[in-house]
Formats: sequence, C-alpha cells, structure tokens
Amino acid sequence: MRSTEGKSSIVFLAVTSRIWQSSSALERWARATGARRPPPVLAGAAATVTVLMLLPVVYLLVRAAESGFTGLATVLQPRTLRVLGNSALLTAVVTLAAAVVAVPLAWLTVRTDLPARRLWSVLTALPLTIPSYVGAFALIAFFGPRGMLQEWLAPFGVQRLPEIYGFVGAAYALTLFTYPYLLLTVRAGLLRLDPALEEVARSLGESRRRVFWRVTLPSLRPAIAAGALLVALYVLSDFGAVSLLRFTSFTRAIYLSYQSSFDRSLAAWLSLLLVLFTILILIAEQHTQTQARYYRQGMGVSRRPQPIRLGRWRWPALAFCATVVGLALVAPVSVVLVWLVRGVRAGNTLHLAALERAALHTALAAGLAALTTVVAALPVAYLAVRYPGRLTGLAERAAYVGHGLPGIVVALSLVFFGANYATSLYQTLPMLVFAYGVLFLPQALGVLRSNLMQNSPRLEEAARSLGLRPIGAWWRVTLPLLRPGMLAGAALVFLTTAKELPATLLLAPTGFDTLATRIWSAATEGFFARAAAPSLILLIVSGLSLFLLLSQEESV
Amino acid sequence: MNVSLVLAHLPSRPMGTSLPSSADGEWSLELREVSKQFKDVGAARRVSFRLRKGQLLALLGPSGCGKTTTLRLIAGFEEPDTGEILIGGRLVAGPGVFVPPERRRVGMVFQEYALFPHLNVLDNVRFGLRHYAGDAVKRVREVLELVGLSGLEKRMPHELSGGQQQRVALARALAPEPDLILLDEPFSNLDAALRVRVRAEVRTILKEAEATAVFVTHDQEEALSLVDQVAVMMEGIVHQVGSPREVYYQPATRAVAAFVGDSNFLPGIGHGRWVECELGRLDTQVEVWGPVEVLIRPENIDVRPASQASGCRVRQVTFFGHDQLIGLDLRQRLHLDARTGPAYQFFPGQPVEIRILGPVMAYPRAS
Repeated sequence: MRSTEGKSSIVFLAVTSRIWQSSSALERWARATGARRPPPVLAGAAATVTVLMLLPVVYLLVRAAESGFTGLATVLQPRTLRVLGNSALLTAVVTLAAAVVAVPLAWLTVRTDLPARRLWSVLTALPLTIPSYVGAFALIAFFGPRGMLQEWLAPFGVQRLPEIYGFVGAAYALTLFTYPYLLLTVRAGLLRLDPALEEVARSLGESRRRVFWRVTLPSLRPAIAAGALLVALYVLSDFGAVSLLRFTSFTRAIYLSYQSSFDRSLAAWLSLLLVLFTILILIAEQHTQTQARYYRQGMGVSRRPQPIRLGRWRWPALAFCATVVGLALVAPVSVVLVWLVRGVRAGNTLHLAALERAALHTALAAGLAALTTVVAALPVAYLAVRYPGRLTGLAERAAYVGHGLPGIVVALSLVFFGANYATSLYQTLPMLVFAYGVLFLPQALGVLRSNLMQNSPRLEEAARSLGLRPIGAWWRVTLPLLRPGMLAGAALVFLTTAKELPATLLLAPTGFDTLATRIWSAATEGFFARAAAPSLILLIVSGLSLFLLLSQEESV
Repeated sequence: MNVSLVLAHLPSRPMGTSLPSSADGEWSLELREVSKQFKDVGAARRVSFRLRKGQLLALLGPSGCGKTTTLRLIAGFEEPDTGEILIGGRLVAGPGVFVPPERRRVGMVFQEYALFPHLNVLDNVRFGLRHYAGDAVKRVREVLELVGLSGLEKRMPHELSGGQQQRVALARALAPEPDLILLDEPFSNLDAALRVRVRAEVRTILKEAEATAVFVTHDQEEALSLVDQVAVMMEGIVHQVGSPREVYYQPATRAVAAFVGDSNFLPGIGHGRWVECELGRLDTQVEVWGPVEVLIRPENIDVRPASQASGCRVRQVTFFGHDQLIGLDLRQRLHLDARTGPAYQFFPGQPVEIRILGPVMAYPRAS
C-alpha cells in the first residue's frame, strides 16, 4: 500500500511540474510573438490557482490508474452498466420533459397576449431558486409515507400510496426544478428573434401555424440546445434529489460505494465515468454552438412583433401556466411552511439552538469560501483579460473545470487526497473551503472577467504615464474599479455555497452541520418538521442569489 | 488643346532639407532607427524622426501602419526591439536601457480619453501631481482654466460631454508639466461638427502651454491643419517628415502622394527638370529621368469652357457648393479629376480646355 502511494505522488508531482513548466513556456511564447509578458508574480499566482483547480480531477485519474486492471474489473460489471443506464435515462427523460414544459411557457410569456404576462414570466422562472434536495424533501413530505397526502387519505382507508421513491419521483422533481434553465434560454432566443423572419414567411403565403413550425422553432434550435445542455448537466451532477428519492444514478452510486468504503477505487472509477459522461455532453454542446452560428440573428432588433391573440385559447394557456407554477413553486413552498407551522406547534421539534448553530456554520463556511474564491479568481481573471493568449486561455479554461464537475466528484477526490496526503487537513474547514473554491471559482471568475473587460487597459496606462509604478496603478485605479465586481462575485459565491450539499456532506468537519446537511439528515430520517426551518432559510438565500445573478447580467 | 503652364504654389524650400541640423537647438524627442516587430499588424520599422521643443508633430498614416505602436514606444508601453528613443536629450529606450512609462515625464491623451471613472475632474487632473513641488490644487485650477473647464472640478467623468472629457484628459496630461504630450487619435470620438472646433482649441491650448506634442491620426486634414511637422507612415516605415505644405506639394514617394490629398497619376518620360506626357511638356520640381509617373493635384488643373475643337470633354460633375469636382476625358483615353471653384457651370459632354498650374512632381515608374 505504501509503495503505491509513493508512486502516485510521483505521478502527481510530474503532472503539476508539467503545468508549472507550461507557465514558463507561456512567457517564452509571449516573447516570441511580441505579445506583452505578464509579470511573474501574476503568472505564478494564476498558475498556482489553475493547478489547485485541476488537483481533484488529476488525483482522481491517479487514483483510478493506480487501481489498474483490478479496479477496472470492479467497475465493469452489470451493476455499473445499470447505473450508467439509469443516469442516461434520467437525463434524457428530464431534459425532454423540461423542453415540453419550457418551450410552450416561453412562447406564451414572450409572444402572446396571455393575461398578466409579466407576472407569469417571473413566476415560471422562480422554481430555479428551489435547491433540488429541498424540492425532493417537499415531495417526500407530501407524497411519501407519513407524508401529508397519506395523513389526509388515511381516514378514507387508503393504506398505501403509489411509490414516490425511484425513477418517477426523481424525474418529476428534477423536471420541475430544472425546466427554468430551458425557459430562460428559450425566452432570450425568442426575444432576439428578428420578427422580419416570420413576416417574410407570412408574406410568402404560410399560415401562422406553419410559420411556427417552419421558421420560429428552427430558429430557436440553438437556444433550446443550450438550455437542454444546462438541464442535462444539472441532472447528471445532481446529488440531493436523486439520493433523497433513492434513485441510483451516478452520484448516488458514488456516494453509496464511498459509504460502504471497503473498496474506494470503485467510487473513483464511477466518478471518472461520470466526468467522461459530462465531457461527452459538453462536446455535444460545442457541436450545437458551431451550428448556432448559422442561425445567429441580427443584433439590435428593437422592434417587438405584435403579440399573438390567444382568443379562447387563453383559458387553457392560463391553466397550463398555473399548473406548472402550482406544482413547481407553490406546492413545495407550502409544504415547507406547513411543516414549519407543525413544528412550531409541536414546540420542541424546532431545535432553535441547533438551527442557529447550523446557520452560523453555513455563514462561516460560505463567507470563507466567498473570500478565498474571489482572491483566487483575481489573478486568473486579470491574466486572461489583460494578457490574452493561447496559454492564458488554457489556464482560464482549466479554472472553469469546476463548472462541469459534479460536486460529489470533487468532494470524493478531496476525501481520498486528504485521507492519504493531507491527514492534518482531512475533514477540516480549510479542506471544505478548498472544495467550494474548486466548485464555485468559475462564478467569481465570470463576474470579475466581465468587470475587467469593461475597464479599458488604457486606464492603467494613463496612471503609469502620470507617474505611478505598475503596482501603484493597480492599487489606485484597477482595484477601486473592480470593487463592485469583487463584491458581487463574493456575494454570488456566498449564496451558492450556502446551498451546496454533497461536498459539505463529505468534507465538513465532524459535528459541523450546516443548513444543507441538516435538511439532508432530517429528510432522510423522516423528521420533516425539523427540515422545514432550514429549508425556508435556504429558499430565501436562493431567491437572493437569483436576484443578484439577474442584476449582474443586466449590468453587463 | 491649349495646355499652358503657370507657376504657382512654389515650395518655400527644396526637398530633403525639412529637418534643420542638430546644431541649431535642443531636441525634445528623437527616435533613431526604432523597430518593433508584431505578428499581425502595426509593426514599426526603423522609424527615425525628431522634434524641436514647442513643436507639434503628427504621425499620419492609414490604420495598421504602425503609428500607434510608435506612440506607445515613445510612451514606454512597448519596448522597442532595436533602436533608440531620446526624450529631452535623455536616452529612455535603447540597448540595455528601458525607462518605464512612469519615469519618462510624458503625458498621454488616449483615444477613448481613459478618464478614471471613479474620480471626479479635480482628482483626475490631480492624479499625476503626487510629487508636485508646488500647490497641487492651485496647479489643477490653472490647467482647468487653460482648457476652459473652471468650475467643473466636482463633476464625475460620466457627467461631462465628449468635448469636455477630451479637455479633462488634456488637462490631466498637462498638469505635471511633462516634457512631451502624446495624443492618440484624440478627436476621433467627437462628432464632425465638434471636431473642427475642438481641434483648433487643442492647438491653442498646447501652444499656450508651450508643449511639445505628438499626435497620431489617420485624418490628413487634421494632420495638415493642426501641426508644424507631419511624419507620414505606411506599413511601419516613415516615408516623409516635413511641414504640412511640403508633405502636400512635395510628397517624397508616390504612396505619400496617393495617401495625402487627391491625386491624378499619369505616365510620362523624365528629361531632367521636365517630363513629356499626355499633357505635353510639364516642368518638374525635381530632376527625373526615364519612365515616371506624374502627379497632378486636382486643384492644379484649371478648367475653362472651350470651343468644339478641344480634345478634352467633361465626363461627370460632382457639385459640393464651395467647389466642384470635374471628371475629364482626354482624347477618350485618359481620365483626370479637376477641382475648381463653383463659378462656372459644367455639363457632361461639354468641351473644355485645361491648363496645369505650377511645376509637378514625378516618381520613377517600374517599366
């Protein structure tokens, strides 16, 4: 055992030194092409961050490679194939179902005279803010055994309800809480669509219905594909909903094999397979992006087309919107509120002190994550914006790796790494914060990047020509201008971290329970009332983060 | 056809002596064979010119010709591959020497002004005065008065008009009393009506401040009307340095002639101080031999209505109000553009007679 660990650490060192070399290769390349050379401190900081971001994936590879053929044999068994099938099926069904819900909703809220159209467009997007495990908890608390429906129906002699656990429950929950991704992209696509296209089709003798099928829908294909990708990635990486609803997709299988713990290389191999699956879907996205170029519409279309009159179709349309909002938003929130009231009535179940401690823990972990993430994102964003090149682009993309990685994979890799190489860090707050950093650095990076793009490099040059050294120019001009972006990025990371479940579950120090882990343990054990209060807090936090995200996008 | 020659626009000095010798004074800026290579566009190749204290120079050329690169080399934002740059007689870039921008005492006005958006007018202008020996606030007021913006100290940049932002940028560059002011396409962000006025104002301000300045521009009218010296750059090479009048009437190369002003080129044979061409014998400003291309500016062609017998006819008339452009067909073979005052009214097909005013320029032609 010891010797294999030694071997793997050599592999790890080789990989990292390779990346270090490439950062000096960057400088050589920059000099050869006459591009400006980044200051060594900046390049070093950015390279360090990039290497750290890559650590979980690299270590997972090392770990899997180490187990070699025996590891491969354990993973190549019918059970794994079943997990693969489960994940593929769930992803496909949820994506399709989300499209069936989202496309009509988008069309209704953008192009028709639906009554209270603006209100509906806000309400239909709001389920985005419900963390999937909170949604799943609400579902179980309503439909599950000992749930509300069961209680109501018991007097009528109903002993058993149809099973909520398994595929149907998972697909239902994930569809309801992921369709807004598709809705938002399709809405944006519809708003960008040049009405002249449809008018030309009408003038060429096509009916309105045929125009929709022959012009509108094909033009929306890139938007639908982009939204479907978001949904598919979410489903694939979701841990909370599938685990609570006991559907063995990849993330749950990884968690289970990690918990059974006698063979952890299986968990590593499963994680790698999941990453591979994610990469396949990302490649598919690249494909749709190249296609999208053919469909791109003219910019700056300000003319809005005449809204389509729904006539008597107004009522079914309204009923459709109300049903979706009812199931995806009103029902879960009501269930949470009902259990909260029940808990308060029962008195002792609220566990106010424990709740307060969990909230404090959440705030502490999320606050540290926000701080470190923004500080780490700064050099990467700065390098990518001010010294663009092939290698800086590569570094930036590497820093985005956490964006596509399921939280459970990052967490698991760090558990292995911590247990083997950093025992003093294992199950400590710094390790947890590091995992958050890997997962959410891309969010901070995105905000900082767009902020930096808005500030012309001429500003720093002006400061230099007025007698300031580079560091002075940075301090007196760049940093003050970046402050709003840093605050927004930190807030975004804070709010996202507060909701995070799988990494928190695996990496939090013993006894360090957060709001998310409290919901998780209460829901798995069936203490619905205990999960209600933290759920409500997280719903509010979540709503805030959506608000922040939207206001950021508007300002860009 | 009656082609007669009238001497006009005689140049004040013969070509090649546009730069006074270094004996008669101090140079504020000197570039010696400065080169900077780039992968795509904007390289500078062995750029040399120098500028006397208190003079304004324009780097004129089409986009991508390397003029902005040259400016950034002077400012210190780029490091030259080879060559030397001297500011106020001090070597700031050369073999083994590179003075960073903050120690060059060079003021820069950027195309997009680059006013610090988080600072008000006062703090923007005061930005470079941290080590100012005297009263910094008094200096700010002085410069703001010079640019005509007194009373706007507390405004934020976004509360100013384009012309005002431009003057704040100029004031900020002038405040630390730099040895040299660099202006990168300073008027291109202003609308056409404002541009002419601001241009004149900036010239007055710079002259009043006795500043030495280098402009970058692709607008020949701007270059010719604004500065004392014009350096014409094309594809990284300085083709000519001279007064606006020299650059216009004695372009050093055919490329400069084609870029600065409108031009007619016609083939001819040089015989020393005159050429033989389609228009007959024309005197030249310089000695030329063998196959040449003759440059004739449209406004140097005088057009008059003629009898039916003339071999020259009007092809097209474009009327601008203050003048008109007459397209001419010469014996069906040769097209010329002439620019005349609006007095005569011409019609397509009308026979005219033309004469060429003044000696012409001619450039060797690859046969």
